[in-house]
Amino acid sequence: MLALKNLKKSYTDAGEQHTILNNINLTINAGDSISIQGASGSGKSTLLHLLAALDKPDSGEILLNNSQQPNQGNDITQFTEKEADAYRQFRVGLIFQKFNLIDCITVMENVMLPAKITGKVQGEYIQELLDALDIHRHINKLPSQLSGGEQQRVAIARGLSHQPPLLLADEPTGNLDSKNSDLVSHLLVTTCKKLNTALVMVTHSQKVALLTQQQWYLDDGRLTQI
Amino acid sequence: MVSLIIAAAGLSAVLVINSSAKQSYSSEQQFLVANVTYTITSTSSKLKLSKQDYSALRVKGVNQLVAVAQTKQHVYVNKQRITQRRIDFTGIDTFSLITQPSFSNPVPLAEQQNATAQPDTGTSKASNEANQLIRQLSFNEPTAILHPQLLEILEESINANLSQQFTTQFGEPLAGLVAFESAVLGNDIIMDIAELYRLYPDAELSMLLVVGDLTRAQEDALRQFLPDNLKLTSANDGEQDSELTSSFHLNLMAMALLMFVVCLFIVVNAVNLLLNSRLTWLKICRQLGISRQQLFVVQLIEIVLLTLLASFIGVLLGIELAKLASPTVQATLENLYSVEVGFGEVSIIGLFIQVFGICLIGSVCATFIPLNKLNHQLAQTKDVPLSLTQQRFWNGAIWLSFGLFAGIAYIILNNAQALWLLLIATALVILSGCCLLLANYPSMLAFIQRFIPDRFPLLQLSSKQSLALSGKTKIACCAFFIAATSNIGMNLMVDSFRGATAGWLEQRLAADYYVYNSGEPNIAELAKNTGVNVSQRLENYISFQGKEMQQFSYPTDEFNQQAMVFYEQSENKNLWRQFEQGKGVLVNQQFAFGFKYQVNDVIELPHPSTSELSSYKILGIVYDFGNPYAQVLMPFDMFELSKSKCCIYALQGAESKIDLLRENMLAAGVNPDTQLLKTEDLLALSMQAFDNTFIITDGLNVVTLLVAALSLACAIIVLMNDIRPQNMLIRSMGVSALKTQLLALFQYLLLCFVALIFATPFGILLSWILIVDINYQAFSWTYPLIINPLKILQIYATSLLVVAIVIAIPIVRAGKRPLIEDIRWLN
Amino acid sequence: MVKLIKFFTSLFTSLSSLLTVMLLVVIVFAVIVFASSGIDKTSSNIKALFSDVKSTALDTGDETSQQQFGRGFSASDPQNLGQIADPNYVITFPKDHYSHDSFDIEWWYLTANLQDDEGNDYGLQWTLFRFRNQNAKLNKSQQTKLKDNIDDSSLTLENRPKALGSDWSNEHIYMAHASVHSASKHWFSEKFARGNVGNAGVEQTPFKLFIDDWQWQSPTAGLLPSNLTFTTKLISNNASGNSAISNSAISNSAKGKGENSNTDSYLNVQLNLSNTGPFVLQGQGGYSIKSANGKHASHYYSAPFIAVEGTFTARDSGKQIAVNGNAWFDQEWTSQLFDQATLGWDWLSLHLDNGDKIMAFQMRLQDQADYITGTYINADGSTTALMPSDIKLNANKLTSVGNKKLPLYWQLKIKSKDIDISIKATKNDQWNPASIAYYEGTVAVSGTHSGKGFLELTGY
Repeated sequence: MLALKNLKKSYTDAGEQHTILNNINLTINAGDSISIQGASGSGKSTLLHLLAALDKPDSGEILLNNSQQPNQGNDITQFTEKEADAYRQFRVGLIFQKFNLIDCITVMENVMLPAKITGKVQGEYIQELLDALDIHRHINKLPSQLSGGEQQRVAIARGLSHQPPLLLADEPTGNLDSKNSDLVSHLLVTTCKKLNTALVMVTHSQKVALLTQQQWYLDDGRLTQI
Repeated sequence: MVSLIIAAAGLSAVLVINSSAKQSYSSEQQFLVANVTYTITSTSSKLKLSKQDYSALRVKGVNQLVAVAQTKQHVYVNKQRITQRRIDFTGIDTFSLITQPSFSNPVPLAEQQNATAQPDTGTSKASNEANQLIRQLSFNEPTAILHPQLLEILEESINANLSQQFTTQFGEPLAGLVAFESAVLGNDIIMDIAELYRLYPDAELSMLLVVGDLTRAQEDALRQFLPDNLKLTSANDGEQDSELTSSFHLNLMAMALLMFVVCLFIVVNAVNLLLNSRLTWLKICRQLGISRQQLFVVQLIEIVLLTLLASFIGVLLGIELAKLASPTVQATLENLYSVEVGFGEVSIIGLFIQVFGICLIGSVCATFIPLNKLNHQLAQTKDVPLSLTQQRFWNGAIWLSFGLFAGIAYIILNNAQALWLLLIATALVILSGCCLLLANYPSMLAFIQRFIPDRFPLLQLSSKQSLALSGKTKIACCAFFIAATSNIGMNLMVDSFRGATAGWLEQRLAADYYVYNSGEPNIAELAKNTGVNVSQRLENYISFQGKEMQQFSYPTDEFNQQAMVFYEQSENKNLWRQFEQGKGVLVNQQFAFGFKYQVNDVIELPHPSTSELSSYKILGIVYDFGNPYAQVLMPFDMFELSKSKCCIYALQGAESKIDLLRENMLAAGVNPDTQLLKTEDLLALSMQAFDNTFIITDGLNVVTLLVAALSLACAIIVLMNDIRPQNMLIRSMGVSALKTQLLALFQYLLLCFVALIFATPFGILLSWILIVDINYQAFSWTYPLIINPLKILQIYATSLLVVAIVIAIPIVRAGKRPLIEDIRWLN
Repeated sequence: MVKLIKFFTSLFTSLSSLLTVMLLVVIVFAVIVFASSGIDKTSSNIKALFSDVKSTALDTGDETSQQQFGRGFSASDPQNLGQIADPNYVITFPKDHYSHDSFDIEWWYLTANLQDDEGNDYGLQWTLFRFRNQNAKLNKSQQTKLKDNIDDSSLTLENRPKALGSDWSNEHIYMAHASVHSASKHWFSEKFARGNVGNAGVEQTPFKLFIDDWQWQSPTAGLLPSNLTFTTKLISNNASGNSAISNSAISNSAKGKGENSNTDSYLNVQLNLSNTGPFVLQGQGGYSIKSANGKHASHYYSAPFIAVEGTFTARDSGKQIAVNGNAWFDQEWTSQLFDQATLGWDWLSLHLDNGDKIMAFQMRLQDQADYITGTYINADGSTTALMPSDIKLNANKLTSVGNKKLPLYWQLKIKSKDIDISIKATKNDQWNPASIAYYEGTVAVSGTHSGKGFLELTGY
């Protein structure tokens, strides 16, 4: 589905150039469950941002393969802003460490938002999502009325409500205690598996990483599979 | 810093203009010399004050009189006019002035030695200088005195290369100009009266000043000496002056306060932004162990220093600004209040202390609100949403406030007559509107949300965010509400006034042409053989209940009966017959409201020609917009041409006949081009004058809108960081930057739209109060309120446009930031 | 409790912010409402330019008085000189009582030595001056016309050509002084007026001199008999008459702002004047030369035989004093008295007890010897003109009065008439503190003859 080829990304700090991604190659297929670990500042989030077409690499390609034309792909690094917006709207779900929900609307409205934007509202699917994440009791509450763990579960539901083929999660359990962290990470992986949504999760927790099928380690700009 | 400088500059400019206006105006009361106790002026515009009156009184022993003559003229150089505004040339009888006790007193020689032994250094130099000047006016080469700034303005027009002289229109050289710094000199040139008449033979003797106190006996004797055409007025009476004074001072104070409040507003927002931008730094300081109190003190010190610097720069800028604006302001104030405004004396240090003081108080006070907020932020107190109980409590408080303000306003409006009370009532009405708006924002927004279809999820989201915003931008929303209410109110008032005036003029100006000619020749005489039908308006000025009022003639033919516009009239079908027979009169609103009379009341008035007091019934009250005088209309036949003045003639006739009259007028030395006006032209001129008068209103309306929009924009900037995560989230869902910006704009405009909806009824109410209460109390006339829906819609559009333009700036700026930056910043 | 405080604080903060905004707009209303009133009233546009002026002593030490014979007027402008005195001119009455407008300066001058029923002496002076303002703008033809009308005696005042252009006044300025001295008091007032305004001038038939309510009114075209009425203000009140007085009511009123100056002491004077002898033509038939080179000359006549009866009435109290005595009237007209050479003059008019009169005049000139002339008038009205060689007039000493040293003691000798008299001012401070200040006061005569008179000192 997504093929990363020879991605390079560096940044300049006080006149010095630091290479953060150095010839990254990775293939993400439908339904894959991938975790990326690494030390703080290793470039994990940068990689995720590139996958979400939020940023552009210095060189390399990220090919989005059309299932009907497996040998041809759109290079998302060459997307215009409009194309990037469309890509994120339809093909990607994003979960962040925090600030995932809009305070002034209910849980249900938060969850439904991406689906309504894309027009892909399927009541049954949404219900299934809510049940899987055990948040159906909270649908009329405001985010401020939920605990941290509950909020992240709602965020997962929101990230999946428009049925994206790919879900990108950047440290989804970073702000949670260990109990909620276990619960949320478990739910994240199983829900994605259930929905056949590819998951790429950035984490610094080995315990969370072990839940995924593939574990990769990003160090010194290089990605190696554990 | 810039906003502080603007505030200081604006404030100092206004203070400078204020002080010079006040100096001139207050010195009005002293006239030319200290201790002017009375003035003698003409009662009749037909029999004016003359030189013979003056000399006759002096010969009778009234030696304390000083004659004053005036004329407004342009100044010329080489036959070219160099002045924009006509200068007020004033001639005083210096020969009388120099012998008045308040000017000089002969002191015996023996005493002079002591006086020189202990010189009064404080006064001698200034008084010597003035003495010399007066002697110059009296005896030496013709001299005229003017303020140095006016001389500078005049000299700018002279080409230094050629030797040129200031002259009159006819080339007569003006007297030698001597500059004299005095706060009370403005657009004036003062000279001896003989010199004034030599240069301008058409100058008019405007008044005789009585210098020094009069004993009772002297006053009685003087009153007896006065012929019928003259009246003695105490200088402290100020029958017109009290109204003028309070109005003028109110305006000056209002302008100064307005400037101060606007600046305060700007400063509040500026400080808010300042503190907001440094929040991170301040938080780090807290983490390093610096206490909140220390941080506040540091911030306050910074504000004080900034204010000091800004005041310094601002004062200098403000003085220059005042000098620049001075001619325009002078002209405006003089036209509005018939008050001479001088250049004033500016003490820079005094001004600086004033401006710095005010700005300091303002900026320190203005800092408290943002500091308070900062306090919360630094204390890391979470913004816990209000519990239901708390919400109910606040709601109740707001409703209570609404009731309170509305109730008090209602009581005042129905019972009070004092202008200041009515203004307070107006303020309370608007405050109650604010309360109503705040109380109903949630329900109103919820109501509007229902109309947004599901297929616009982002719009729905936006409207919900709008509701959340309404809680955080209360002040800005209220500011907008007030601006919108005032806009609607003022615009409706002006519109109604305009409509009423236009309609009234169109009906009253029923003739084909009008001529204005004071004195000889009598136009009716000129029109005798032309076939033009001429109606003259004969005018008397009489005294009624101690106040001067107009007694004018009105023709009673069918044509003119139709032309009359009544406010209220007697139900009597024989109204016009009774009027014709001299049994009844028509009065204007100013008379009816001012003296508290109604239709069918009986009043005593002098007969227009015999001056015998008789009783007359009030048959009707007529509209008379803008007339400061009470007026009574009586049939033309009751007047006598020899006893009354005639200035205005109404003409009816075919164009060919009018042309004949035109020729006769030319032959008689009357200029038809300037004095004969076609009714259509007259109407157009009048409405143009009307529109010009209200330009200042329109300007002020835009200013209030801008200030409100500015406030909103500042609120948005401050809230920017709060709403950044939400925007980031929405953008991450694939919504384009442009859409996000438009949605943000929509949020605020929705708030403004709701404010506008509430502002509409309050604006109408405001308009009604202004027309029916305030205008009535202030000027004793009123007109019907006309509500024009199109006008209201226009205001909606304008307000929303202004706000949209102003708030688009921070929104677009924020939107240009790449999403990745937001994500990195937040995560 | 804390919550309550917090609540009130935030309520107050919100309310104050709201009120601020409120104030903004209400003030806007106030401005707009009053701005739209369009008040159509005319009011005075007078400036208190002179409110900066504090009352001050008319300082005789000021600049203008230090010019040759300190007048506020410039000395005669040689370019614009009035008519020159003509030695061949014949003075006739009543015609020549009137104003001679083509001459630059003219005065009608009355001095009187009076006493009341209790024997108290009073000195009285009343003068009307006429000046032709050389700075008045006349065009060339008007000036010429004025000059041409030298002897057009048929011209009445009304028909005389007036200055062009100014509807207010003509080129003549009138100044009047009224001075009354008692032993301890001095009343003095000064008036100014322009010609053709209507409050000052000379009238023909009946003869009248007037400035405001000061009037010399005759029932006929003749100068006398006549009534003179005027009011003058008390300026000095002390026993000795020559030392400083306290800064009491007078100085306070001199500086007085808000003082009711009209309740200061005023003296109403009403005199009946009657001629008991003939008019006297001074010099040669009324042509009086004042300097050796003859450049200073005037037309000058006197009426030295005037009997006076009248009353002084104090305006505040109404107290009346009947007075009577002798008066001396001068009328003089000239364009040649004041020029750059004129330093001043000393003038004496004496009523000798034997009925004779003396007029002595000493002209002080720059770079010339003082020129003394005079007239000896017998009781029957016959006269002897006195040339410099006939009369000796010397100031014996100078007396300090204020900051001036004045010759108040004189010795007069007329050998041909066996006159050797001492003339002494009866009171030191008889200074007229006018805009053009000078000394005018009563004198006592002793020596070979006794009598009373008046002394005038100018240019000191």
